[in-house]
Amino acid sequence: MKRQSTDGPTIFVVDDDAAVRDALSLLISLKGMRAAVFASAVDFLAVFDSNCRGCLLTDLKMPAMTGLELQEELRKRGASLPVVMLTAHGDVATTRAALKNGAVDFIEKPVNDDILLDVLLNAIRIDEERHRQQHRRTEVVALLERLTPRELAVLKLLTEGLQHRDIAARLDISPRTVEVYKARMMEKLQCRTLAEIVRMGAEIPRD
Amino acid sequence: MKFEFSGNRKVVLAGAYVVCYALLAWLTFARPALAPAITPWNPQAGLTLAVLFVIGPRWSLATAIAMFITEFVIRRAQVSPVAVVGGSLWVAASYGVLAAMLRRLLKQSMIQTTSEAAKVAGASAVMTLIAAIGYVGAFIGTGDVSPDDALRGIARYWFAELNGALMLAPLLLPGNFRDGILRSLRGRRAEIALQSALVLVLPWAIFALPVSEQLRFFYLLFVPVIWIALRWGWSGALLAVLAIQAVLIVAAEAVVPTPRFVDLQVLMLTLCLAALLLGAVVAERWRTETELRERDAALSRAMRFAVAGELASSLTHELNQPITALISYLNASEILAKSPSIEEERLRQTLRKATHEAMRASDVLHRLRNFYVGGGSRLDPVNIRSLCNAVTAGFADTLRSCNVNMNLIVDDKVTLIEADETQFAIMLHNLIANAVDAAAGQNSPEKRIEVRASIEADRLCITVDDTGGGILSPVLEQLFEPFVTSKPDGMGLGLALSRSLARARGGELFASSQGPLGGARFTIVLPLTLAKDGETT
Repeated sequence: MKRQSTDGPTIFVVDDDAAVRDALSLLISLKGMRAAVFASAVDFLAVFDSNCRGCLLTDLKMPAMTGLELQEELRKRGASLPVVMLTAHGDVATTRAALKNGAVDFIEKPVNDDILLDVLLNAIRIDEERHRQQHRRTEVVALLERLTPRELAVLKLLTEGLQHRDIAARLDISPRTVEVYKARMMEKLQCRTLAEIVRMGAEIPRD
Repeated sequence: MKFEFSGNRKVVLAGAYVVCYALLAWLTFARPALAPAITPWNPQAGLTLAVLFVIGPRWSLATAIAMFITEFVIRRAQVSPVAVVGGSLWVAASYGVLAAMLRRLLKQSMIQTTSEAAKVAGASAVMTLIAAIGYVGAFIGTGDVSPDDALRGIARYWFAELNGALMLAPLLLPGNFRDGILRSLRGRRAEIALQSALVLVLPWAIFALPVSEQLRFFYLLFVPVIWIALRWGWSGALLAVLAIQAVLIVAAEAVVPTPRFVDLQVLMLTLCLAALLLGAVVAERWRTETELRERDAALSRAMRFAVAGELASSLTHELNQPITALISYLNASEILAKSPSIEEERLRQTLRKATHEAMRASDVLHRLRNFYVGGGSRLDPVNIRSLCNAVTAGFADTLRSCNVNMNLIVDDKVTLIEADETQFAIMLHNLIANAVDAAAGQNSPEKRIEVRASIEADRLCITVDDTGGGILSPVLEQLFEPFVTSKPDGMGLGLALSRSLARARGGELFASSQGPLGGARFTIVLPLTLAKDGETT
């Protein structure tokens, strides 16, 4: 249950069997990845926060809190950490449930180490991708916050594909003023083309 | 079972029917009264009903033709042809209707239940009465029978028709003939011979008596009929009635002095109804018993599969854990051995762990074998204290993750007991596992289990208490039944197994929904010394 440094991806291994935990973490560390082990879902949730990077490798069948319940709990907390399920061979029903709930992959016990490596690397890649998207979204939101309400209104209409003349008519201003707003907006959002502005406009939270 | 005949075969069957009808009418042409056509016996009615049932009620015209032929050719009746034609058409139509009713009533074209037998009897009674009223009415209309004799004539004709229909029709229905009669005749020969002798000799013996005494003794005939009905169902009983009937007809032909025929008719009708209904009750009970036996067999087969399935799935789970660890350790060892700077100590350590996991897998198989081989019990002195410690220690991880506390209290007097260690451990493990589930599932501030071992009156007493929700009373009643469980993923085998293990050791396992900790209490009681006759083996 030791927790390693927060930067860089970590494989969080949750399994109620001490030997399986130990063996998997040894194998993972020999494959050049970092592993942190937990004897139960509750132990893992105690240390989990949104800064955790990497992926979760959890057993499905555990006392107290099962792998599916842990997955559900993470989803409730809004965690983006990819989940890989360890399942018993032929346990199709629960595996399907795990995948439907958003698990990125599953591995059958006993574990084939090549498949394990593939699956874990893929999960880490998914985590990085999710993280990058999230990061970009927060950046865009920060930039959008610098716009005045009027500029934001113009941006929304631009995103919908309206011409300057129509925007002016809708907002009851002159086409010239629309031009001015647009120029100021482009400067604030650090955009050079209309296409870039439209793409950012798509990130405006719907309300 | 439906009997579909092609048109040609129906014509052949109808022809054969007409011939048989005439033959039967000729055979039973005894003591006509009032008008020549009103005879006391009418087995043709049963034949007619069975044939119309098989080839269809629309063929009832064949019945009318058979009746003309019988009256004019065989019996050479000296009555008005109008009455014979009208009466025959009426009777034939009545039988057509009755056959249609029976077709709807008997789905399997044989009598299978008592209610079917009763409905057949009821429908036959109503329709033959209608036939009798029409037939006798036709003769009254033409003046062949005087109106004063109407009631007597109707009764005589009705009893004759109903008797014939009930006696012969069920026997002649194709499904019954094959399934009922032939099978019953294949039974015990000696018994059948005795019954046949009784059925044939008894009426003769009765006829040998003075006429005034005969009627009093006719009721003896119920004895063989009831006996046969109990042994062979209604098909055998109706055959017996048929035989008795045959003796009566022969007696009538031989002009043996007999009581009034209407009395004999009522007697025969009563015998016939008793045979049919009693036989149907017996046959229905047989079939129910057979079905019950088949269902029992199917259930026990399903149970065996369920047990095998449960065994396979728990074995898979138990073996999967050490094998997963084993393979991962071996993979790790391979990587360690391949790496340029071999860390020998680490490799050795990993291989040792791998060996340990292989042993663990092998232990699972050993436990399984110990449990199943030769009834499973091997008696050794078992140290209860250390066994309790070992079993409870196995729950350490689970207890921690479920946030449940466990107290183990072993009385100083508790030492050694002769028992099968594996079975004892399984029993205790099941009870503690249930207690952990119960305590963890309850949303109470304190989740606790208490395991207590003590000696009470020369008996080892182990109690397992929890702070869970207790046992609901509908569950409590069948708690120890196999495959009864309150857990969504449980098989309901744990407690059933534990109780049978306790009993095999001469002890008992009790459950109470109100334990001292608020939840359930399970108690294992085992005698310290075993009975000398070795009831555990």
